[in-house]
Amino acid sequence: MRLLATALLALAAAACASRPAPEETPAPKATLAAEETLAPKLPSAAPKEPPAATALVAAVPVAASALDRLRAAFVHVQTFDPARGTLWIDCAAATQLEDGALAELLVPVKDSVAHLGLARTRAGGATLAVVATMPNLERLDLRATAVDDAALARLGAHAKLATLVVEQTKLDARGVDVLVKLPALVELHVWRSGLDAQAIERLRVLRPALRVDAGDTGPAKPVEEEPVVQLVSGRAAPAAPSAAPAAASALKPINATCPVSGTPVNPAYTIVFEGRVIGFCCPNCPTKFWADPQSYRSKLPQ
Amino acid sequence: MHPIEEHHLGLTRRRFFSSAAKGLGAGLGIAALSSILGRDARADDRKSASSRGPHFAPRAKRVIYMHMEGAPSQLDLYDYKPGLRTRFDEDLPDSIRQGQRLTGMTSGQTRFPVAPSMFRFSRYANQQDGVWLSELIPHTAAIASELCFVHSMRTDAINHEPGITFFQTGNQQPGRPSFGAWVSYGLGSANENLPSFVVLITQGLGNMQALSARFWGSGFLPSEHQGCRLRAGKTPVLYLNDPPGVERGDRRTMLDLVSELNEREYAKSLDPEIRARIAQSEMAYRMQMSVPELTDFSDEDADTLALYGPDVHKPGSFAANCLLARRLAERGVRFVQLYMRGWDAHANLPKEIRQQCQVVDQPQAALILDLKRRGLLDDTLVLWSGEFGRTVYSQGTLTETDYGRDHHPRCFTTWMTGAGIQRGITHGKTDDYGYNIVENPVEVHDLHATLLDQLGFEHERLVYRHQGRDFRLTDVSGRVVKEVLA
Repeated sequence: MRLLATALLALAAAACASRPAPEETPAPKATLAAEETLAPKLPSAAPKEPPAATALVAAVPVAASALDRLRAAFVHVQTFDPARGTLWIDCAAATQLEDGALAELLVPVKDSVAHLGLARTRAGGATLAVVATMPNLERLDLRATAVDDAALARLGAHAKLATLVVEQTKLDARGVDVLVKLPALVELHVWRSGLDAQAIERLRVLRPALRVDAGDTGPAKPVEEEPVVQLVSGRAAPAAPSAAPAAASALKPINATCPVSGTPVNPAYTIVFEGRVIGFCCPNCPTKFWADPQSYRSKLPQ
Repeated sequence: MHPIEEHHLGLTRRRFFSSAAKGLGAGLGIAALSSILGRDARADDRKSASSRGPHFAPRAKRVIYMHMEGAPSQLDLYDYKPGLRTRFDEDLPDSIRQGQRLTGMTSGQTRFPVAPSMFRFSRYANQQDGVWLSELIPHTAAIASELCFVHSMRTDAINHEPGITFFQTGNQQPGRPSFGAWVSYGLGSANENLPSFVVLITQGLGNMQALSARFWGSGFLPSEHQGCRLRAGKTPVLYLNDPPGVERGDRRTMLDLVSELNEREYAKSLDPEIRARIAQSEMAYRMQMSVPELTDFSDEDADTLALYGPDVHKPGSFAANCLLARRLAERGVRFVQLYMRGWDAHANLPKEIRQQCQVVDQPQAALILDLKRRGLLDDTLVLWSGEFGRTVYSQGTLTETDYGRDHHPRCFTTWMTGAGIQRGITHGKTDDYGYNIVENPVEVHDLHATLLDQLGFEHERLVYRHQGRDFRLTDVSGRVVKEVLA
């Protein structure tokens, strides 16, 4: 019973992946059925027969057994560009694989890989030697690996690699010589890669068109600041019949200290009293002033 | 007929007659009957499966979505209206309000006095002529050149539940799959040791509204696509750890046996939920190892922790959740949904928004900077949004230093950055009162279509057949907003 179920599942997966649905518009050339990638991995399950048809209709066909081996090692494989039949391979869940084992797993798929994520893995020289032979590789993520100059040099002059992430790696100043050899490189992330400021500067001089993100951009300062916020009422203020019109608040008050509190005047709070502009420290003092203007008269300049 | 379909039909027919004979489950009987009558369920499945992505080369591999639950005030953070400074307490003109429906909380007010923001704005350089941002968010403002502000978002919903549901599922009524579930369904997991859709929640300091688990539900999609909420504290996932006395080997033996039984049942019934159950058990087994490693910040250096601010050491804080979001993103999790609660400032807005911003400002800016320097911002899409905006008129007391704002669906600001998004720009404009959109409106479905486009989906093709029709995240609408794309 169990064997039958397993066989049926394998058949279903193969059928689903290889057979175009007749009543539909033609499906994109390369489809890894997502169902397949989601299929539970049962470590104890009997080894499946490799499906007869390849699951990926790629420009360069990939053997289904190679994909199965990658997935069994918890390496993520996904169609990247269906039109070109390329793959995105990511090792986020396979960080414990040794360099050699990783290299071996990647060899059969090397012609199809467009994006390769090796972040936090044990990838080193052996893996990068395989990566160097990936003709369609555009993006390589080596973040937080032990990759050093020697390992990186295995990439050689990769003709297509456009984006490279080497942050938190073990490069040193000589890494620049390796990086400048990559002709197609347009974007490079080197934060904490071991390249010092001088090396990064040299890189920027040698390859001025290259976007180098060293994680060194500080926070920006504002280019313009609003003056202190003054809220001016749009309604007629019934409490103060002779309050200054809005425009008058721009007039300079005649006094420097608030007649009510004795503290310095804030020019935002002014009134017009007997034809003169009087300033206050806060919005509350004018109310007190209007309550009994005569008692404050002595506090005003004569 | 294909042998698989024949087998399936045979099973369904057998099940129909046996359950009918036992008088069990009328619903099941009807479902089985419909397949006998020619509505081929497998054909539906196949159609759904072929809709999965990517449909073309994606720019984004994952999403971090910060939802500000309760709806922050765009007028006090992003949408600068200096002209209102001289219109304090003035009545909002009818020509602006245009009889718009109001919530029951302010519809009884006798007047609608304009409440200009009391906060000072500054202009920060970006790729255009700069963007004015509030003093409340200095850290976020300092990375303005990385962000794309959309000042012209609008929604149909006027209350929180339908508002969040609309943002999360593309529909105001509950029951549809959430955004994260669609992405998980369409792309699958990129790390088999972790769920593909993770939810992180931070409790707010301001007025909070209910946050239902259905906001991250899978609706009619297979249930393994629902969001997995990680809790703060010692047990991020309840019941994940083995009880005392159970060894990992015991667990494996148990799972093997249960899986075998489940596989047998699946062979009999072909019920997809059985496979979902097996997948979830296996996921839980692997998460016993992967989750403790994920939530342990001891491998973070002091500089990075300092970047997120002092709260980072407090589990469940927005700072801790932002750092966790980065750790999830770098481990390949497809969709990280952060919720920050407490933005529903109907009263005491200045006090509440100040507290809320103190909590989110530094961590959210840190997250962007941290993703960027690690090379992750290139292929991670980041979205920050509330479920709607807030009104320019004050709800309740209005003084120069105190006011409240009601719900405002007609216009609000969201920001995005990362994969495929043009950085350092603003898109859309509102009128001088910040009440209506005057340029480039962006609907919720447009936003969904735009984000799906970055993930490699034609949003009209990412469908799932349910109850006889194809459902989409973007329902029957949605336009990719090309203007904000790099």
